[in-house]
Amino acid sequence: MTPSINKGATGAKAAKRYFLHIDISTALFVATIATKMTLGSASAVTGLAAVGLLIAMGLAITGGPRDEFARHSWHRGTAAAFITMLVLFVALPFAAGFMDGFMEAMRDSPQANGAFVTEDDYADTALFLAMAAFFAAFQWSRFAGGRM
Amino acid sequence: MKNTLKVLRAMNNWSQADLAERLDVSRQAVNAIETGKYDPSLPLAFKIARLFGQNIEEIFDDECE
Repeated sequence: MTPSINKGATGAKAAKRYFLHIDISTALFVATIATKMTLGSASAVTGLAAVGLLIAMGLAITGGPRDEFARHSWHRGTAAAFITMLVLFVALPFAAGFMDGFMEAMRDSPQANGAFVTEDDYADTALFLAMAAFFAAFQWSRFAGGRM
Repeated sequence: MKNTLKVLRAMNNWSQADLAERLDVSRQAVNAIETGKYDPSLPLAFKIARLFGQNIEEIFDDECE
């Protein structure tokens, strides 16, 4: 007996596109971090990677209906990013003393050449950590079902 | 949750992509369900059961975890 049911390819294709966009986003996120660390924020390559990341994420978000597994993975990712942001920004006041010491050490280090590490750097790092948490949780959920 | 989805799919000589298309979900979703990494929603479980002409409890076993 061959089971018969109407093929509804729209959801499957949309989900396939969605996973592709998230995979591209993950790769571009890693590329953005890598180029930022090696070439600096002002590098054109870093800028291109960041713009590509935004476009790929935009396409993933606006790309139409996703299947329930894609939604499940997305929710895992956003929950991880939200928790990361909460931890970082709730912990910020407690970490202020540590950051002061860190900034002082950075300012006085020979590599810093007097450059000052500001709280913008902390916010910048927090943003990247939240995004890293999103991509890590999404891919973990996708490949391992999100189970510990 | 254990299930017999992989066996049922093989009996029909379908690939994961074929089954995904029939269920209107991604191939990744079929793979995750087959390997027990993801439990489908009730509507999707019903859809799977209808597709193979079986009851949900014949396909999914919730006592094996």
